[in-house]
Order: sequence, then C-alpha cells, then structure tokens
Amino acid sequence: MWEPAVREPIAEAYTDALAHPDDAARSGYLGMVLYAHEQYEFAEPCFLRADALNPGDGRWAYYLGRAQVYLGRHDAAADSLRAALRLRPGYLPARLMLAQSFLEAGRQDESLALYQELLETSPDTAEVQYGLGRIFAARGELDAAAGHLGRACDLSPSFGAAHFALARVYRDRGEKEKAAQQLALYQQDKLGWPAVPDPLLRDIVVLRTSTTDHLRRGIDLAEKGQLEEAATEHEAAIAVEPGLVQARVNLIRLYGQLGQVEKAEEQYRAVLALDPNLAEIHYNYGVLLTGQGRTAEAADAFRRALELRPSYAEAHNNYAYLLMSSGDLEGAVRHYEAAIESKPDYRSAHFNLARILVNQRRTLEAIEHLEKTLTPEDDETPRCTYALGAAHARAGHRDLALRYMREAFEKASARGQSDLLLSIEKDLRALEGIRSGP
Amino acid sequence: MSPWMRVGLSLLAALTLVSLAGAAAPPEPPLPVFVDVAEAAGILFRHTSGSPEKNYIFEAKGGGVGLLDFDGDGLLDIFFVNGNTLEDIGAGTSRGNALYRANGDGTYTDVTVKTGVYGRGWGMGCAVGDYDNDGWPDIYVLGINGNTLYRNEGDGRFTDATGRAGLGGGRWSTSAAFLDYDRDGDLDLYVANNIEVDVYSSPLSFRGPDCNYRGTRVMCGPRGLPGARDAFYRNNGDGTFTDVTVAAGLLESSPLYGLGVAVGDVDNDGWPDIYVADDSTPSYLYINRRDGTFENVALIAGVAVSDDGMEQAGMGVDLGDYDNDGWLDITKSNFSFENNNLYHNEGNGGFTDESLKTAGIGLATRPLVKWGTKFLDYDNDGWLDIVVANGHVYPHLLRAPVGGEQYHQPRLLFQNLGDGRFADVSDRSGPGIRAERSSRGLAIGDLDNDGDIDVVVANIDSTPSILRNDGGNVRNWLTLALRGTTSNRMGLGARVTARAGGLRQIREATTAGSIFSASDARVHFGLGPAGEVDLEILWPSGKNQTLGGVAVNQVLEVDEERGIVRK
Repeated sequence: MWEPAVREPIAEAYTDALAHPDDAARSGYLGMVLYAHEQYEFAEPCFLRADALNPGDGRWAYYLGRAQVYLGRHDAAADSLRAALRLRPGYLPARLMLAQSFLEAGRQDESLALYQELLETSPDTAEVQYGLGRIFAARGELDAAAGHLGRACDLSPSFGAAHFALARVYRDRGEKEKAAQQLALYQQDKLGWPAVPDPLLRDIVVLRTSTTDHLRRGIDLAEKGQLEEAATEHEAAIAVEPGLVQARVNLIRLYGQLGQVEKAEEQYRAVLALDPNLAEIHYNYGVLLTGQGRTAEAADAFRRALELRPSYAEAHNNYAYLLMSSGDLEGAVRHYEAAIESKPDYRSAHFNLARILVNQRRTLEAIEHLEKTLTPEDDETPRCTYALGAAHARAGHRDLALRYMREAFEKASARGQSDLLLSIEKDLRALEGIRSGP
Repeated sequence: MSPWMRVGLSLLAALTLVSLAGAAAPPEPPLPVFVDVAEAAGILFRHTSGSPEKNYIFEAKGGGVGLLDFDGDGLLDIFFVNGNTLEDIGAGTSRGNALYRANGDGTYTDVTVKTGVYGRGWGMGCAVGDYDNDGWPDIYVLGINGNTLYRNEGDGRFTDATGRAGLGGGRWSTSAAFLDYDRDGDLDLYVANNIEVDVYSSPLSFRGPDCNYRGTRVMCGPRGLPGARDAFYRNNGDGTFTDVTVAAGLLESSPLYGLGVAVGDVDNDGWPDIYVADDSTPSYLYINRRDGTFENVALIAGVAVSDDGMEQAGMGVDLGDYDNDGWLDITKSNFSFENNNLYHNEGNGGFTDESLKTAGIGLATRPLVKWGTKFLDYDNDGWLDIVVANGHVYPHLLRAPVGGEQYHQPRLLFQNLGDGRFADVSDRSGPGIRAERSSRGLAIGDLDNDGDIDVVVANIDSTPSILRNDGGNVRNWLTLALRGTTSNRMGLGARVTARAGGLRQIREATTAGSIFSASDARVHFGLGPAGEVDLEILWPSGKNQTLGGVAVNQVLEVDEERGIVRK
C-alpha cells in the first residue's frame, strides 16, 4: 500500500532488524525509518525494543517520547523523555518537548516548573518564552503572559504562534490596536516556528526520501527563492515517479524563472501527455511564454486555463495584463474584474485595474481599488500608497493626495526604495506648490 | 417492554438495595445507553458515494440526515441524503434520497416516491426550515452539482421550488443553515461550499504532495484544490431569495473549504451569528452587526485556528452553553491527529479552547477522523454533553490499517460532569456508540417523544444508524415546539431560558449545526429532579414571553402570541 519510495527502505530496515533481533541499533534504525515516514504507531515498539536492548543510548528513549507525543500518549511520553534526559540532561529539544507534552496533557503545573527551569538555562530560546506566555495566559496572568510572549516575538520575529498568542492577551487586556497588530504579524507567517537545533531529529529527517518529501522540500525551497535547489528536489521527485504531475507543473515555472526554456518546454510536453485538462499546466506555460515575450501564445495558454477553470484568478489577472498591453482595455477590465470576483483581496489585480480606470478618468472607482492594495505591509505597500495618493491628486482631493504621498514617502524611506522616493518627492513638491481651494 | 420500563425496573432494584444497606445518598442513575435500532425500525436506505477506492475527494464526503415532522403528526420523520457515482451521474441516473415517515410504534415507512423527494444529481447534506412560513417544514438538499429546495405542500407531498426560489447553487455545497438574520420574520439561508469541481468534466487528478497520506497515495485535496465561495441568501418573503453574500459582508476574500455551519447568538445581543468550519483552513465566526451585515471575528475571538495558531481541518460544529453561564460555547470536530475544539465563550468577545485544559475532551478525539457533532443533554441532568460521529476517509485503511487508524471508527460520547470537566463515557454507553462505522452526518432529536434525545448517524456507503437513547429519561425533561407568529413560523433563533433545580439553562431553537445534517427544531431541556420549570422565551421578533411553573416530562407547543397551545 505504501508507495515504493516509502515501502522499500522500510522493508530493508525491517529485514535487517529481523535478522539481528538483539541488535538495538538495528531495531532503533527501523523505528527511525518508520518515524521518518509518519508511521509513529509502528515506530513506537521499535524504539521500545531498542531502548530495552540498550538503555544506555538516550537516542531511543528520545525518539520514543517524540512518537508518543505525536500519538497523544503524553503520560508514556513523559516517562520516555525523562529517561532520555537522564542520559542527556541538557538536551534542549527533549526538555522543550517534555514541557509541551505536559501542557497538552493538562499538566500545567509540571509544565510551568519545567519552563521555569528552562528559563534559567535558556532565557533566549523563543520557545521557552512562548511556553511560559501560554501558561500565564491560561491562568489569567495577562501581564506576565504579555511579557513572555513579547520576548518570544522579539527573539523570533517570524514566530507566528507567539504573535497569535500575544494578540489574544492584548485582546483580553482590551488593547484592540495592539491585538490587531499582532494578528497581522501572525498572518504574515502563520507557520513560522523558531528552529531549535536538534541533531537527533536531523538523523531522522534525512531519511525522508519519498517523492512527496522531495516535492514538499522543493516547494519550500522555491518559496524561499532557492530556485536551483528547488528544481533539483523536483527532479529527484520525478526521477522516482515520472507521473508526478505537480512536480512537472512546478518545473515549468521553475525552469522558466531560471531561464532554462528548453527544459521548461520539455516538462510542458510531458505533462500534457499525462493530463491535458489541468488548468495549472496551461497557466504555468502561459507565465513561461510571457517571460519569453511570446505574448500571443501566452494568451492562448491563459485562455485554455480559463476554459478549464473559469474562476482561476491568476489566469484572469495575467490574461488581463496581456490584453492591457495590447491595448484591449475593455477586455482587460473584464478579466481583472473576474480575477477580483474570484479573489477579492487580489492586490495586483486591484492595482492594475486601477491604472486602467485612472487612464479612463474613472478616478473614484480607481481609488476604491487602490484602497484595497494598502495591505499587507510589505515592499509593495509604498508603491500602492503612492498610487493612491496620485489617484486622489487626479481627483482633486489635494489633502488626501498629500496625506497618502507623505505616507508613501515615509514607507519608501523606511525600506530604502530610492527610485520610488525620487518620484514621490517630485510629485509631493508639485502638490505642495498647489494652494488648497479658496 | 419499553426502554423506560426496563430502566425503571433496574433503577428500582438499585434503590431497594441501597435502602437495605442503609446508605444515606441516593445513587446516581445508571448511564443511559444507545442502541442501533435502524434495522428493526425498517430503515433500508443505503448510502452510495462514488467508487470504493475513493479516487476523488467528493467521493469521501457526504451522507446527510435531516429530522423533521413533515406531516405534522408530532413525530419526527427522517430524511437521508444520497450521493451517486461518476458512472451514474454521467448517465443522468440518481441513487435517490429517502424520506421515512414515523409510524409511531418505533417503525418507519419509506414515503420517498410518494412525497417527491427522490432527487437528482449527487447529494451531500441537507437543511430544514419553513422558508415560506406556511407551518410545514421544507427541505433544502445540498449537492455537488446543484442544490434542491423541496417545498412542503402540507398534504404529504413536496414540490421542487428551487428555480422559483433562486437557490439552485451550482457549487459543491455541503451544509447549510436557516436563520432569520435580519429578524424580519422569514428564514434566510447560509450555504457552505467546499471545492470548485465539475463532476462531469474535471475529475481532480492533480497529483502532488497533498495526494499522499502517511506514505500512501490517496485522493487529492482539499489542499491544493480551489476552494468554493460560500453563499448567503436573503428571503424576500414571497418564495424567492436574493444572493446577498457581498452586501452582507460574507464574501470570502479567498474561498475556503466550507463544511459545517452553526447559528446562534454568541454575543447575547439578540441577533443570530454564524460559525462555519472550513476544512484545513481557518474557521469563520460571523458576528451579526444588526444592520444587515456581518463581521468575521474568528481570529481575534480565538475560534479560527488551534491554540497555537495552526490551521485545522474543521468538519462539524455546534453551539451550546455547556457550563450554563448564559453564553453559547462552540464545539468543532477536526481530522485525525487534531483534537476537537471546545471553545468556551468568555463573554467578552473572546473564547478559550478548553479541550486540552479543564474539559479534557481533546486527547480522546485525537486519533479519530471526526465529523458530525452536537451538544445534547442525553442524560437529562441539565448539562450539555457532546456526541461525535467518526470515520476515516481513506478506504485503503480497510485493507491495511496504519497503527491505530482504521476506516471504521467508533463514536464518542462525552458526559458533562457539571464542573467544566467531561468524562469520556463512549465505552459505557451501549453498542450504538461503540459500533465502528465510517460515519459522516449526525442529527439529534427525540424520535420517540419519550423525553430523551436520540441520535441518527449517516454512514458513508452504508446503512444509517438510528441510536435510540435508553434510560436518558430517568431524569425529568421538557420539550418545546415553538410556533412563531410575528417571528418565523418555526421559531428558529428563539432563545429559551429555563430555571429549575438551581440551574439556569439556555437553548436556542435551530435545525443547524453538526455537518451535512439538520436536527430536531424543538427545544429540549434535561431538568434532573426538578418537578417544574420557569421558562422565558425571547422570540426573534423581540417579544419576551414568560411561562411560570410549567410541569415537567411533556412535549409542549408554544405559540408566540398565545403561549402554550397544545400538550
């Protein structure tokens, strides 16, 4: 039932462990392979056996505790993790896991005691501060909770869960604005979690070699902008399973971004043979062709994607852009509107639609769209704020124009966007030179 | 012999023994048990949902049930929603829903064809409400490729009113809730939609990291597939509805995978709010702003994601005041390796997830794939308990179970201990709870009008379970059938407060909650040893009605103008 890339290493480790029943390392290794492939229920007895055969090796007790936490068996996990810590007393990941396990099991006092110990030894570990913050929040000690959670966020600014917990503490203290700020930070990186070095766990992670593991890693790397490494992981995935459509669809885009057009075309042909009715194929191919300046072919690809999925917001957006570039403004407006209909917070669709509307002297409508581009707060925000200011200027709203232009100036300054600053400065000067109405 | 007699005798025997032994305190009555009586009741319906392999996500969902008294005889009838197969839907063939009329003796008669609710397409779930205020409950069937509104004609027949009402839908709809959001006296409708899919032409064959479950290739989704936007319809009062999703502020900025819907006044302002569970994505809590619009406050309220900010695969939902503090709390079921949530309403706009804290329901729910769930006072002690239907979505687990994960799973029953804690009594509550099935929808109601709440569960690709509650009526109870006059005819949204035996309980009349399903609209109170009860009914119209010293152990019909009109 398992896919071959999962089944084979498990079978190999199983055969080896069976042939050497008294070898702790072999039983433990089988547990590690099973754990790597999320088979926690099966990994548990392997670690138990390994630990029984060689109780002096703290690895097995640690892995056992982790598997038991995952399975929700917190009492057993506490015993295992304590045993692991007797052999490796300072091993931070095990101490953190034990404290978290206590918390999930409702053993708040024990969790608090452990986190407080950890505070002595590892005060700069964000996870320690976060754990303490959660406990104090649950106890209604909001000031203490805010202190620890704030510290966790300072130590690890992309720690989504800490921002979320802090938002709720501010909510309970009636500080709405601060709560909203923290929620915004949470939404920027919901899954962000500070990595505590865990060499023992790393030994398991490297055993994750299934096609899905390659693909997941490839997607993560692509999101981080590590395109070549991302492409390598995707290639590894299709080497194991040539029919993995998503890997090939992603490769069309990745090769395009890497300028490897021939390889992208090759993937496009391969994936068409596998499943021609997948909108993503045509969309990604359209993106590739747009990058190549082959706009007519790109438009065909986006149209095909939209035939297959009429609500495909990204395809509408890109098709609209091509229409806009070719002068078909009515068509572009239609498709930008369709993109927004499917995805109401689609920033670039709002922005580009607003550009057209301004040129068509439909300035008030443009302003409505530009107002929707002001969030999230990122590198795009100064440009969007500037555009909103400019639209207000066109509409004769001098005060609002000045307000947004100044805001854009501050934001662009903070982000060191010098080209944008020059443009804003020029427009601001012109605006400031205009007297307000009589 | 009736269940009451059986339990009554055993209780009498227990009391006698204790008395002889000279003990001072009376013993607690034995726990009620649930027995599956579907076969004996003559329920032959069998659900169908695609291929046994479940190659596509929509094949693994669905199986709805609705409880309604469609013929006005005072007995709950049962409606089952059926799915279909790709082959049959392609050929234009339907597997057929089923409506069973209660005969009053514990058996049912299949009246599907006679009543005209056989249906078409591929059904998923249903909602029940009297949308035209004619005194007869109507049925709205949710499906993958279009929804159907069955208008109850009051003469034993339903007619298809979908086209006239403008409720055809077209997206993959899963659950829906009737509510009077603008308190104008007619029922409006919230529809949760799941994924953009066309069963006729675009099977979701996308193969990626979301098509793998613990090392095994499985159906894809929902992650990686395009979500379908939920819809909200205002009742125009003339048999038609208007889509007001945008105007009401309910347009999702990015469509999520809607599943369960519950409605209730969570902020105690007299206006109904909406809670929606989304699969693998944050849930919504829409607070009614009393001006025709709603605001999603789920994130800041603490009911969108898990305690540590992680998105969960929300499935079934329900609202109920489990600690009798006068504020509606929320329970939500989730996928395996995620515990169910029990969000305690703090009364200040915020909620705290007590599932892993005082309530202690979290760990028991973790290994199972949870679906339909409801608050119910199954032992009539005045404290709301929780029932959950479970079942996995990946049928390969039938052949090769992974560790503790099985395709067929037992139900869960949590007994409220009255101090914020719950006891997992699943193993002690009879074969109906222990039975392992792959369950989906769940609805509750007093099927035999004996004063305790029964449970009906839809099982995918199988026959349903009719779980008769035996022994829940050892303690006292009261059931109210509300009849609105200025308010909507079913009284949905009315809040009833019962004071008895030192407890102050609140309930709201609703058919919504759970997943794919519609429960009994009547309001049920467990009253423990109390011999009478004082009631206060706040109707959606704003009318406040009080009924003092009401005798227990009866079903009452209460009219908004005239008070108690029938016993």
